[in-house]
Amino acid sequence: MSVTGELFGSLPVPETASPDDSTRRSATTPQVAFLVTNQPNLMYMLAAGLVMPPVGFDDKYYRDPLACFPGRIPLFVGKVPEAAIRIATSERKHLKPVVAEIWLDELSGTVQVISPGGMREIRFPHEFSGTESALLIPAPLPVSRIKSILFPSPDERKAFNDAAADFGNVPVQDFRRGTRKTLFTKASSDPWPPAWKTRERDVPLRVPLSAGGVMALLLHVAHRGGLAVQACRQAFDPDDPENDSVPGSESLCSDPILAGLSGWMRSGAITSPPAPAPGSDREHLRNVFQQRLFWEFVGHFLQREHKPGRGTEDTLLEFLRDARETLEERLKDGADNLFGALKSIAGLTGATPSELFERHQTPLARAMILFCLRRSCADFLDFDHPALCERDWLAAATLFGARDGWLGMPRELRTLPGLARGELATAVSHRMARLAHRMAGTDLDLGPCPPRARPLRELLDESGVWHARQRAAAVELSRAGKWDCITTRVSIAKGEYRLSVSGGSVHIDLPGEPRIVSEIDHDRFFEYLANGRPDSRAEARVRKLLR
Amino acid sequence: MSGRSFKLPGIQDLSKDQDAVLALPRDGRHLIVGGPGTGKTVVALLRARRYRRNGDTYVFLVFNHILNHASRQLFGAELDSETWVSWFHRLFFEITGEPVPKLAPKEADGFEPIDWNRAEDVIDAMPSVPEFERPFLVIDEGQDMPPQFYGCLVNLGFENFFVVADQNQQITEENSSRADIANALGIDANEVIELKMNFRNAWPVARLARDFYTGDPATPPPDLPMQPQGGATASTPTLYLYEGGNLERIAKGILRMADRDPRTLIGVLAPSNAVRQRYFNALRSVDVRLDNHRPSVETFHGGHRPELAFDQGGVLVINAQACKGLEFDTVVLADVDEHYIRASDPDPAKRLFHVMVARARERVLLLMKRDAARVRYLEAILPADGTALRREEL
Repeated sequence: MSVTGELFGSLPVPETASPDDSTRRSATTPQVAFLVTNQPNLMYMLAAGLVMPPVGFDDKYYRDPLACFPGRIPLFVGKVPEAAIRIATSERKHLKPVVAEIWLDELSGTVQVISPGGMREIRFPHEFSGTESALLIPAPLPVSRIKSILFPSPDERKAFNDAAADFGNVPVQDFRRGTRKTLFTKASSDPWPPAWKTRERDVPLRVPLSAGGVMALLLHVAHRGGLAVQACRQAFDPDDPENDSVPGSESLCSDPILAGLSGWMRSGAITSPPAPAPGSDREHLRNVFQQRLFWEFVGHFLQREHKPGRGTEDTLLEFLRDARETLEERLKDGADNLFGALKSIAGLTGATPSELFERHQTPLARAMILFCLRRSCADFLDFDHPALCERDWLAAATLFGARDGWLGMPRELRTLPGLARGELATAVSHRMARLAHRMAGTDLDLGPCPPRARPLRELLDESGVWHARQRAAAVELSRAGKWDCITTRVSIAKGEYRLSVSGGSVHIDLPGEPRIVSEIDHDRFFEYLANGRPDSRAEARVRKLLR
Repeated sequence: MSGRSFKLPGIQDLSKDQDAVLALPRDGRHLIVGGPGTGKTVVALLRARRYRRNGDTYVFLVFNHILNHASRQLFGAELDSETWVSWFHRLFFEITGEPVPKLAPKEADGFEPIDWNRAEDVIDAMPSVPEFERPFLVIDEGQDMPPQFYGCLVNLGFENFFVVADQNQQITEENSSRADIANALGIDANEVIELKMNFRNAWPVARLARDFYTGDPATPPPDLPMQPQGGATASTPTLYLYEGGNLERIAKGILRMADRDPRTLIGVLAPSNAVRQRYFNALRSVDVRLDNHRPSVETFHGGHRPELAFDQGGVLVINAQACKGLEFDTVVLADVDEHYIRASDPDPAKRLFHVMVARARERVLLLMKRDAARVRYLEAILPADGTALRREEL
């Protein structure tokens, strides 16, 4: 069967099994399997970046086969059961069925399978016998494993496209869509769901979804400085051994807030810093409590329901009110001042941002102030203030990203100028799923991790000597941004220069050919880069140049 | 750059009921009802957007000029919108060759209402309705148009209606009930879709609005958004008592609120023209230190139509009666002590407060002069519960 109809591009996915895989897989192991659902559920999963169980949908879930084995993703091999299609459209009359074709290549681990004889646990792929009709894979899976989205008719494909266009965060254009009528009309008569049950699995999704938002936001602020590049690396790949050898990594470890980032991104766990020794100086004490309060607030926020009408300020103030009681006496005055400032932002007696930042100078306080001053991640990224330093931006970006999560990212924040279509989404989606499995303790191996999207600042290698393309890229960015950091040197041979005037022009005749080189003042260039987001068209050109 | 332009919702932002509305067929007659903040206008704008994307001819009809202006600015200039009256006058003339029949003015302002009986007679008397392109009709605040409006359109051969309405927000005498619209359009009662969940207002705002709800079983009040755990510390609506002779501090406070987030649109809703002008003057003239450029401060009143920037942040000072259908991030109810409240029948005042409060997405502030004389009746309709309405001296 082939996919017919328009092709809208697809996420970068493996086309064929690698030689290693072929030795592990039996000849009967399928390369793809089918997830049966309905259009709104699939759109929700595309927005969230994860193929996930009902618990991930909050109250926006429409009954479908995902509810049949909670915590597991039923993937049908070969044909899909007609009963599964019926379930997927049973909750509301407007629901239409849709099938996501899922890549199984390089996926391995313990899964359950359904075959005529019953249900059993196998090691996938090498224990797959070929008689199985469905796999029950521990959730979640990254949406980058969706090979294509299949509809019963072109009309339903159009309805899906139209519906997705009503939302600001459903990236259908990243996925291949087509019609495959026979999948629906020649569905199997196998009963679904089968009588057998599995134990319900708890699937941790809030932290992974939130981590996806943090990855995106830290990437968007990574132009701010070297520490920001480090934080971005840690957010995407906390286990990368190279992180520690990159210059500046020690700054990250010693930052009172960012020191907790890699642990959270690695396992979702919030590690409290050691309690300060009695008699610790105020600075040390403040750093310890900054780290503790920051990450405890992230945890506190994630325990709350994310619903329209929930005030960010209220959640923050509730947390601060309770946390005050756990602070050392010496820090309580500061906490009270911050509480008062945050509370006043909503009313008639509040100060200007400049006054607020002047009075509150720690990254924790400033991140919380920004959290109350700006509503959305996009608003936050558009904000600027000369009083804020790199650490403030990073702390605030982490809070905003954690609150909105990947699901809350509008389409424009799911990419960067010059990245390939779906490149960032693929990287984030895989890492969110990996974190969820790590937190749940499964042995599911999702395959090779797609490379992370690199910040421009990293591509330009602040610490090293530029090669020709990097230099050209810096010139391009500086020109586009009208950054005053280009010096042009014209080298001419020694000799006599003759000045002549002809017509309305003045000419200088030089011996030989002058050499013209544009030099960039590194320090000034990176200062400009830190203080302003580059022109998007220039960034796109530069990324292509540096690819 | 548009600071507040219409942004597509996230898939998680819309309810299943809203999904059902979006999935309605392109053709046919559809009526969606719901209280303030249930997202009626959002689904109507998305509907218009789909028509536009598909290349269909449509028109988005709104009640008055200010709503038309706001809709076009928020959605973008590509929205084909018009006030229903202007559109109907033009349509009627083009098809019948006659101007819309009018009644004699009832009020001193000389306004001549449409004579709907004669308008229907003119249409009925036509031997046949000429062929013309009938656009898809998307009608916002459909309760504010009279039932005969819908009847005339049906008689003129219009077939595709998408009407969103809230019976509790009627502001004209010539308005339609839910049943009126359904009957005129031939929509079965069980085909009307009700939007029940309040999505616009933050919980403390929705809760205060509900305190002013006077009750109408045809359109129940929307369900409250989820209540914050631990209480609303910052966003509880606040009643500020201030020295009546001095608006300077109030004006500075409002301008600083606007300065903290220049994308915020603040609506100052006044009980009378005199109060509107007083606040407008104070906001325009007060000397205050701000981080950003001084925010735009505009006003609007009958007969005067400045270019109000609903797609930008700033402060808009308007009369309370003009606020219906608009949406602000923060609403300031100016000098609430000057609203006329009848002791024997406080419901009209409560309805007005309900509409005013429900205009706010995030925050509501009420201002009352400390030495106000007529507060007894006002206090009778304000919630006494400090968790619903906090009181502060300014």
